[in-house]
Amino acid sequence: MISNSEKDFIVDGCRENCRQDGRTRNEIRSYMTISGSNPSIESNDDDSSEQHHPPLVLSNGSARVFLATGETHVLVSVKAELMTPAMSHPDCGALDIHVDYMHNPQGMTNSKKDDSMAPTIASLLLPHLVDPKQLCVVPHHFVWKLHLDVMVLASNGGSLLDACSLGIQAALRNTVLPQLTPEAAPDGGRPILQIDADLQNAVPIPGSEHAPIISTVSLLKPNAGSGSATPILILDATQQEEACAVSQVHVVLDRSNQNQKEPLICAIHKAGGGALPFSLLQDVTSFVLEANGGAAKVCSGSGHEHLLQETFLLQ
Amino acid sequence: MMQLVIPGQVIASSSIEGGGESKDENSFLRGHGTYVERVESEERLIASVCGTVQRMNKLITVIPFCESRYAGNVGDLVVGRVTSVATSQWTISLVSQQRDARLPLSGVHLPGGAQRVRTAQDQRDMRLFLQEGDLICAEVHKVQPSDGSLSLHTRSFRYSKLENGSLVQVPPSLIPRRKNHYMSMINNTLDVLWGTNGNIWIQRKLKELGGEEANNLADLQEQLRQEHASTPVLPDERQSIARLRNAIESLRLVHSMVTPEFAEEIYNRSVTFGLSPSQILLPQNVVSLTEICRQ
Repeated sequence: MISNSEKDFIVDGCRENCRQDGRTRNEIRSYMTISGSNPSIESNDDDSSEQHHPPLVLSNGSARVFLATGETHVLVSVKAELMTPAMSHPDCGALDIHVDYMHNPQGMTNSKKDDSMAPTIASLLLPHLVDPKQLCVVPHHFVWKLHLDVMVLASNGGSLLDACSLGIQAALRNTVLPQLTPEAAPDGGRPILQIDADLQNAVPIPGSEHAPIISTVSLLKPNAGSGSATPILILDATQQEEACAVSQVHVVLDRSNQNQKEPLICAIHKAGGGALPFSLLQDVTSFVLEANGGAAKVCSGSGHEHLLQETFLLQ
Repeated sequence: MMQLVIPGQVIASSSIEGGGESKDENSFLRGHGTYVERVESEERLIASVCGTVQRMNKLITVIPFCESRYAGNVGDLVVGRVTSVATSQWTISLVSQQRDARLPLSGVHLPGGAQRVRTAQDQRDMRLFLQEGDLICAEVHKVQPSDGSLSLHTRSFRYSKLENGSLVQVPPSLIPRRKNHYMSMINNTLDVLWGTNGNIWIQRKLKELGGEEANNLADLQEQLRQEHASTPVLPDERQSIARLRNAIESLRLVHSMVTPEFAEEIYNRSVTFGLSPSQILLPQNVVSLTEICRQ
């Protein structure tokens, strides 16, 4: 809940390019990513992205994404399972997504439980995450099915979908699948698989390094006194700013093509009320591309986030 | 002296002689956060929560140590949000997931400061005064002895609806009680309300009251508020509000006491370091800025 006066203050601030926390309209808060289960402090070396951190138990890959201020905290785990492919697509694997909210009795409350989030992520991200053909082991008999489990630990920071997509991207990068050697069955039936249980030999999924991310633009209606009627666009809205927004546009950005400087837009979804003129959609997409044009702003492993998280938050 | 106890720890014991009233000088009265256990000829008072012991003559209570709980005291300044409007009272949320406080219609000043019994017409007009979602600052008027629920009042020109500013929330335990919770900071450019329930309100400085019109203080104050609420905040003021907000936020992140002195110190340090308001919240800056507050 938010009062009209606070709304006016926030909207005016966005118009003047100084938001409540001092950010500009297209500035993204610093999200921290920790891949795997056990973040080691020495991960602040430059080559840390190369070495592989073991995932959580019982999962093939996992990652944690949180805001430095702790208001948003998302844990993502990827579990792989062998299954028989559908008859129509004998060489395609499958992906499945599930979103869960943690019940937290202490101060950090999950303000709103959004049941529509899992279907939204599924329709926006699933077709672009991994090439299903890469998950094929033996056509017609064995393919991998990836279960993506998103656990929302704290959701007070707003822009939850963005954080979830960052988590999914990091978890897929962290995912390794065990080596399989199929042996033809003597009678020509279903082949037998030999599984290499040693995790050292497990391999990442090809093409999973550049899973797309979601970038959400919130549209604020300017106050009556300001004279202009064009909506104000802001990126990475906080919960208070989301409360003021008329509607939100989720833009899915694909960075898999290394040759291109700008990421590709592979999906757009509008949430919330209000009509969005078609001409404005152009503004929204160029706004996102402008903000995301350079390197991804997500930092990981500078050493200090552990200090904040482990020493102060979890004491 | 503060005595910290954990659940199950024996705080006091007294012997029971002959079953009657204990004449023992160690006898006690059981307060909140404790329970009594009888072992042979002895009665033991044991803590049921983790917290600090408070002794009032023979009454022994344990004040629970829980950072997200707010235990109100009479006279506290609080900043809360109106959650509902009922027939003759507003309910005010002070801390999330804790019971709401009530602000009775008789606990507010009528417009113009008229002194009279509240009528049915006043009840119908309650929403014109405060509606759902509005932020107010108020004083704790009464703590209900039976369940600890609070009733508030705003019957002073200092308390009112809050408009045109920024709210920061920190755990209530991080706000120490002090003489004055209404402060002017940063070279008298900002007014800050340090609500004891953990809500901090930052707005630009209101104009000083003129002394000669003291007989009509309520009207004058009302006029000033209206003027403040309708005047847009300048970009510079917005920057310093954001900077102070982030300074308070960084204190919360390191679980340091949130006091005006610390907040102002961090504000000034961030200016000396040449950080923009949004850069204060980067982890490495939070750690270096709050160094002085963590000793």
